[in-house]
Amino acid sequence: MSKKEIETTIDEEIESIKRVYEMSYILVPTISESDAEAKAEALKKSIASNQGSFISEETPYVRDLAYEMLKVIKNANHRFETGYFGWVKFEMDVESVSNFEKSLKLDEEVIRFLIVKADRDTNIITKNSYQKKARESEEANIDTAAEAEASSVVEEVAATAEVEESKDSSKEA
Amino acid sequence: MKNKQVLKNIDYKDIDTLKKFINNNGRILSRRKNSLSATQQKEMAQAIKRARFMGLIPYIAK
Repeated sequence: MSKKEIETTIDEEIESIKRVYEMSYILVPTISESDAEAKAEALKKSIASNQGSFISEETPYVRDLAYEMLKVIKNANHRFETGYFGWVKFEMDVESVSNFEKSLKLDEEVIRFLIVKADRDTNIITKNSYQKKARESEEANIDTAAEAEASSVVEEVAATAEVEESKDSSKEA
Repeated sequence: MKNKQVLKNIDYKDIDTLKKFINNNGRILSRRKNSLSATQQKEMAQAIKRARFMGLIPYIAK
């Protein structure tokens, strides 16, 4: 084989490498839920425009962040304590991932994102299990709080009754 | 004495399993306390760092 033939075959092999990635992102909490879902669809379209194919995803849901995050939007600092958390799994050319990351950095509604290499078949935790646990913990807290309030109200009534009795007795005396 | 934990598919979004391996203050525990293998400990540490970056786990907790 001549030199030119070898080079062309090598170039063709390099161009066609595709890998499976997973991206998780946090969206600004000031938008509504329908807008968040629309934003997720827009991200899928930008994945397709960068020669990627979509595998699986989870729609974003509101989540409390563990710490305050800062984002500069239009020359102003904005601090966020909640946000819409979602993730997408996709397959893309190796060379076009950097373009996709650049477009995400310029996006004003995305606070943070993380792109990670992943396997195609592994399943990950979903929003339903997270929200179930949140609901169960809330119910448990509400029951205990109601009991505490009831007991404290009873104590307050008894305390005020005692105070009034003592006042009356002091006045009489 | 050693309880070997066999973990499959450590994922940074799965904070319920990740919380078993961190301190009250949010620090990663040593391999001796976690009873994980060397590669599992590395993967778990990287998953915790990714979860911290995405705001699922705090860096410091009080």
